[in-house]
Amino acid sequence: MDDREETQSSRTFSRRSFIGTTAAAASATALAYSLQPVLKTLAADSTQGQATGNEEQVFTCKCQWTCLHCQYNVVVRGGRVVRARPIPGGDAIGNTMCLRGHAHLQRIYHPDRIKYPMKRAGERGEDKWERISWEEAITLITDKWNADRERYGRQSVAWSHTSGNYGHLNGLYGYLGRFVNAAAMTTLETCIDQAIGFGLKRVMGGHAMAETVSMSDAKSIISWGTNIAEGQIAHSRSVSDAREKGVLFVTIDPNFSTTAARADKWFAPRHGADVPLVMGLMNYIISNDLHDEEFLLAHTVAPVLINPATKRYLRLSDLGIAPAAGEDSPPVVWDLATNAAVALEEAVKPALSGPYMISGMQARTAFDHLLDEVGQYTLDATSELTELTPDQIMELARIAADGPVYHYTNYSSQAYPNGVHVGHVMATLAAVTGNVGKPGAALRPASNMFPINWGTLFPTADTSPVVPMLELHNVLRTGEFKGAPFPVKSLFVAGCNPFHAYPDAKWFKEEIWDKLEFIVVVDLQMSESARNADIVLPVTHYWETETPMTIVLHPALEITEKAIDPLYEAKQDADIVRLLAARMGLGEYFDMTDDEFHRLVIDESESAKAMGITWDRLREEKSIRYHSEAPWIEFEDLVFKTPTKRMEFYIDKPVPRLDYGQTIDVDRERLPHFFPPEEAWPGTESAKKYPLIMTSERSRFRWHSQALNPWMLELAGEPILRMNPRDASSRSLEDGDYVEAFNDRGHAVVRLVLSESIRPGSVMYPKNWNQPEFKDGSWAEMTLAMVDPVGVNANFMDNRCEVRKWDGQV
Amino acid sequence: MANTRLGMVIDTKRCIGCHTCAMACKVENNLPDKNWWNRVLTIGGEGMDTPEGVWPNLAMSYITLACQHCENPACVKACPVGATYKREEDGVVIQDYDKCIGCRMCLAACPYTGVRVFNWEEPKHQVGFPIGDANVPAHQKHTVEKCTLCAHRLARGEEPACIEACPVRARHFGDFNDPESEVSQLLLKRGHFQLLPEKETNPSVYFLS
Repeated sequence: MDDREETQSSRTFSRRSFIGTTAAAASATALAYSLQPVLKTLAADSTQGQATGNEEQVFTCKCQWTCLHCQYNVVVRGGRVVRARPIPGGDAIGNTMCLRGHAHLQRIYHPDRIKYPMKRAGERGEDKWERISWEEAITLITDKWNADRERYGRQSVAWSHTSGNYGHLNGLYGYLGRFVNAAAMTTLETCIDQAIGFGLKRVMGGHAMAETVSMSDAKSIISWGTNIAEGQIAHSRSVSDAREKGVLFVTIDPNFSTTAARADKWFAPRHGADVPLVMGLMNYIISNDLHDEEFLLAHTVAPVLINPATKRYLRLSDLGIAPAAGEDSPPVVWDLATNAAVALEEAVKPALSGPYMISGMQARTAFDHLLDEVGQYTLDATSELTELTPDQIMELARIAADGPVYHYTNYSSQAYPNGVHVGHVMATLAAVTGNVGKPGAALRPASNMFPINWGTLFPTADTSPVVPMLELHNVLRTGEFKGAPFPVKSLFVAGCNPFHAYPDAKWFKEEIWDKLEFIVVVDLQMSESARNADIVLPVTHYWETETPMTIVLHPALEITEKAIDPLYEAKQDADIVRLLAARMGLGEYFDMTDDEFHRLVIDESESAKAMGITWDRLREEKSIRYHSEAPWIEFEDLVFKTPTKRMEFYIDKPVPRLDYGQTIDVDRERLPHFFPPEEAWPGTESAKKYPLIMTSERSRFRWHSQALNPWMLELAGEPILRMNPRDASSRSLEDGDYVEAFNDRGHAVVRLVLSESIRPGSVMYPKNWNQPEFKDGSWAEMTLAMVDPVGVNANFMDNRCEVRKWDGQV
Repeated sequence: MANTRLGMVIDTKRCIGCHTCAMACKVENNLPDKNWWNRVLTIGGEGMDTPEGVWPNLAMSYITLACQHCENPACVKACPVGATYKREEDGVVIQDYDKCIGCRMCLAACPYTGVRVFNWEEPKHQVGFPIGDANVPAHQKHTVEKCTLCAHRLARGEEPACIEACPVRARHFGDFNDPESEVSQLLLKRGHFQLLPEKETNPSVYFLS
């Protein structure tokens, strides 16, 4: 006990003795409130038109940011949310909720919530604001937009929307999506966490997903660079259930994550080395005859012959055989039954390996070409690239070959320029081991999009042109996109926080943000984007509007009910769209009620009709599962969504994820292929100056960058950097020091946490702290903004830095 | 012996240290700022989420720590005014704010550091109106407070909030005096431990190892 406590305790005792307890309770409450006049006002507002008194109402709501979208109950008392809690008896993984769901009500009532429309009163970023009416705000915005649309074209207004709100009505595929299409505004594609999905999809036309309950049907679960225990907490339950049933849980992570701590086996390869690791696994698997030849022949392009001249699939048309030409002509395989080249699906006994002489060409199979690539990854070569021992590689290869394996992949492995190939190589591993479409086999946890009436996105013939966000700087510099004039003047931000989210923050500000004449941000709290905007509009919290949820982490259509009326002057995005559209001559497409729109989205979907699913039914049932079988497993019929309907691990016609007029090295993309990170690899240019690899982790205490939550801050404290003690001692740093991490792009000043969990030679930071929370700088300043022309994806893990003691004032 | 002995069994093999139980408790009980009746402790290194050992030979696990609702509670003996007492009917250790004189003898006596918190000041709340359950007693200045095993919920026949909140189903609640209860059965089937058994308090919280 320190002196202060001692002093207070003496006071305490005497005071306490004459405070009447009942009265004390009342006055304590009153006092606490009087300290917060803002909240008192807020409380008055929030009860308008709602049931009052102590009567409790329970609503069914969801987390709608980019997480697992758990559905749970929200309890309202006196018109105010007092608690979120699991649905009694709701035992599905989708009914799990974590601390983020419990703490979310704090965001509704946070004193920093944006209360009314505002326009900038000082310089941009100065955070000086003038309150304006909705009418003035909408007039200011549409006057600027309409003038620019007239003068520069409709693309002059660009919108950015990523993952802040997946509620259908107010999300990407709802009223906002409908609006940007009708207005033919530019869509700024996110360029964040897109590479792995593209890599998986180009092989399979999907992701080989399965619901996590399917983990219990697996022999092993392999978590690839994901921290399920913090990032996807509900899925940890599936992991625990599976482990209790004897399923082996393997974590692959350069650091000893909280998930690795729970694993049966932990493999710690070097950062950015997942592609060579899987190549090495495949080499061992195939060399030791552990591959699934039957599956390769029946369900993949393994036997397809490759035209040596074009490196594309050899097709019947190449052999002068009708009927079809080009890509409509069937690929050719060698049929060992007839010793002849025949169409892929005609062969009785297709050959896995060649070469075969056909029409004067020596053609080899796609599998042969895969072996050329994979064969380079011997145990020794793989060991050198990954820093795992040959024994570890063999052990992991045997686990991967002994399916079914639930591979749990996510976004850190792919946050390098080589990211597309992470998806490509995982799909290829699944092809080689026949690990897809069966219970327990998966490459990703499920994420299902309900088959809505997609026509609702296109009320007119117009569509929104797509520009990659990380190409916008070139568009702004040249005024051109893909060689044609393409002036962009304004930015409309809803459901995201680009000022915070994009890499190389100083570059992003100078090359993108500052070059935009007019920025409108719709947000709940003063995010970094809102603080740096020209107009800020207050938006509703998830639980203040009713919406279907069409993207759910299991095949279900779910609802978020409206638990309370919107606070202050907040409007939902759909209502903001209605106001904007009306002044842009597009009012007729947005004059339906929310209810009418939901009916159009759901009731008019052909799939929904076939399944008997309606909006009314959803309002009644709250959650409608539309695949009755559990667990749902993608590609259970082994019919892949590719031109050949097979797993196309050899890509016939590689294309970039997004076309912005760039050229790509087509031959690099045909097969899974490794190329090293730009910085986070030995011998890079950056390594000469900056010895430490710098990566990030997703913390359980944040909802991406969604702003400050005092309860979470009580647990998480402040921004930190984790470092291994041996790297600290060589720098004379101690646990708890304030340190400056820096590289050529910027710096961040944070508290140092020493932990053996961090791979020596690297540092790791829990991400998504907002700039004002740092002593100085921010992580966003330090991350790399270059993108690979194929993946067009941010490389958040590909960084280096040095760390020194901070000499500033704590 | 009481008719029932309510308590918890927490599976350290399933627990991922996610703090959801702590957050659910914070909201359910309308806890004042900075007060946490249930906390997550890392078993490993010095700080939160740091392991023991030297890279790459590492180990880390978690325990969650709240009032242990001891069968033989040290706090009860220490309280001069009977504000902290064990309920005869179910063994739950209760803190009566109305009787508490703020002497903090119970804090000193309790071997489980930090499970009792003292309100030095008027309790403040980030959300400006009472949240959580309507039947939670108001928090008071100069009193000691702690986990009540959600006594307000027990009164309605419900489990404590942290039990239903645990996302990985690591927490179990029940009567240790009932040999058929889930918690009794778990102790029969699995290795387990109590915290600080040498203090002879016999906690009603067991951890499965």
